[in-house]
Amino acid sequence: MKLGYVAVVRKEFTHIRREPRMLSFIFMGPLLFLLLFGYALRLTLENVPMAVWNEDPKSVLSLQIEDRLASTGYFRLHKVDGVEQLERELVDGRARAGIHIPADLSAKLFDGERATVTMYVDGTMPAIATATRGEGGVLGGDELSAQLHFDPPDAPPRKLAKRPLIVEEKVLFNPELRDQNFFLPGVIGLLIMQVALVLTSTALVREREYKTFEQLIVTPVSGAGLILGKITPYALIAILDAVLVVSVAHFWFQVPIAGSVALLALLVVLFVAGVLSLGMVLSSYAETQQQAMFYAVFVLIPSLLLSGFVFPIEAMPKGLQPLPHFLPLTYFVSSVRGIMLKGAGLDVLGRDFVALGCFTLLFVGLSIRRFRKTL
Amino acid sequence: MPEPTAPPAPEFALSARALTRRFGDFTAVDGIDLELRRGEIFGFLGPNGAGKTTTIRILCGILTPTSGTAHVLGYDVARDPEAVKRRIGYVSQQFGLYGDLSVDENVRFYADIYGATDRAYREHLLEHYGFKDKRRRLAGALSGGFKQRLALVCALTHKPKLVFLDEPTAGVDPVTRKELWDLFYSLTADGTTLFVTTHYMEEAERCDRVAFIFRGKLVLNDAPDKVKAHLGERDLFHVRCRYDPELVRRARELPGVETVNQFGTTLRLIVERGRLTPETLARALGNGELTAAHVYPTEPTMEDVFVNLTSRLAAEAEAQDAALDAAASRGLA
Repeated sequence: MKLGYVAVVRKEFTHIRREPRMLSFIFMGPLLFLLLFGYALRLTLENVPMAVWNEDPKSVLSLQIEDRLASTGYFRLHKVDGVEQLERELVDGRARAGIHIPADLSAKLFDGERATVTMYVDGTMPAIATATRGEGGVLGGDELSAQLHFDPPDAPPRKLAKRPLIVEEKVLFNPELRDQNFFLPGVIGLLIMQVALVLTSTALVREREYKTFEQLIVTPVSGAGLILGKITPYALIAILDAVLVVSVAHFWFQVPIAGSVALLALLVVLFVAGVLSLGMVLSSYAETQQQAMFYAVFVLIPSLLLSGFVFPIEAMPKGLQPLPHFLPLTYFVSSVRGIMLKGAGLDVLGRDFVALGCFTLLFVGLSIRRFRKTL
Repeated sequence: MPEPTAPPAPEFALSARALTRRFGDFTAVDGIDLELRRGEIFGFLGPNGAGKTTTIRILCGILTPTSGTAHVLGYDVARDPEAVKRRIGYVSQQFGLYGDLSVDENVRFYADIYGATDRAYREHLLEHYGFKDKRRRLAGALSGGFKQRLALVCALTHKPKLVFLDEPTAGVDPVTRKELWDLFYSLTADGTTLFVTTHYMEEAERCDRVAFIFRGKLVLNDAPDKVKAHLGERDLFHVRCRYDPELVRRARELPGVETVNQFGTTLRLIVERGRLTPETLARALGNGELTAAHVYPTEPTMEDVFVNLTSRLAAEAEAQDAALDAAASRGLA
């Protein structure tokens, strides 16, 4: 045995034991992950919200179409009034699919003509869009086709085409169903978060480790002066980083920016502020830079998994769905997709923006208070 | 925040009355009275845990006293801590320097935090403290002595009239310590008051006045040359002998002996007055080789006084605690 091996091993175990917080992370972390993947995270959706604009609501035939869609078990139907409302719901995410049944549906079918229904699919998340299109196939299927043949007893021989419905499909927002369009906007958020959290979470602890903190507290520097002063440079760096990432996503990977660039900029600034102030809070709790990094990772990973960045929030069990709303990244991901892919405006995103603003205020307030407390 | 109107220049740079700070049941600072005249170097001594740091934290305005008052440069530390913080300088044993910042950058940072605008003075300080050709050097790459000097410069850009030096020369070689003290004296020449804590007796003797804190109470507050009188009714003996644990043990058990302290080949004994003479002492310690010729009465040093004071007070406190415990257990029974 090499000299001192046992002594070093024993000493390291002692170090580990002296940091119970770290120890709980080491064991709780893997468990948390298993639970998340075992229970919470699914790639496939059930109960896809579908907005139905039925202009022929009194017709048995139109109701048969609705029934058929509902009986797939894949769609959860709700009524809307007009194409504007339908499209708006697709933009704000209340609906991921929609169907328009025209006013002349029954008339045409009675006349033995084919009628056109329009199916809307939110293309933001290609995997879900593809599944939605597949399930929507029931509209042209044999079963529905058979039901829609209105055959009075004395009917003349059928002159109707075998398929009475013409299904017109409209894939919105990401019509080519490119995966980049789905992932890259979210990646912007993830990158900002990574850079900003890691930079700031170590910022205050470093002062503590270098013993400069003690010196600072006897100077007239104010809590706000210190916290905001620490945040500002990293905010600028994180914003520059965001500009870089958005540019590459847009110009190189051809991710569209359907909405307003100014709104996108505002979103980035809000998000950066929120994440940096969260970093300060983490920093005020950590005693070493190593601990701070650990905390940062433990915010990053749940954010990655639960924010809807990859796994749709609607696919999570009902009981866990409130969870993502405690993560700033959730609001960023939905907003950035709204702006870049759907062209959403402040009218739709207002709530997300307010939520991000509240996070920032909360975290800044908390970190200033933590600073005062350490005096 | 409106600048509070400055009170008339007080006679004392610092004055504290019955200053007390409790943490739960524990009284860290217990009714301290202090007065620092302008331009004086005040040495604040005491064993670790005696309440030195707590006292300094109160006086710097970062900890509020539980009771009592303290005025620093005329401002009440409890009521107007920010005014105090803006006007004092503070150099700690840990030196709040940023190792990855250069000399200039460190100085500039602290100057900006204090809102010090006098750039010429900053230049003067850097030159006077020997940084003329080191200004671009990273603080982390400076020698220990220069780190301390830099910390001092950082604490002085706003021309504080009172500077707290918390063990400013800990771990510094004697030559550098002397150089630092030359700088301290040059500061007082400009009327700056220095509040110094130290564990070095030689440093304590350089102060105009020293105070000794023990278990939160000031037990002595006097000029260094008068401190020796605080040994009171005691004799001091100097015994020339090699270290011998048996001898030390025997010395401790002699009646009237309070403190036994070995320095190289001499043993210093503090004894209640008149209890022993060189002859009786030599005989009592007697290992055959030791005679009265090896034993001299001698003058106390400051260290003798502090070591004796500390052990006496500790013994008294212990006796008191024991009495209280006994009373408490009687009360329970």
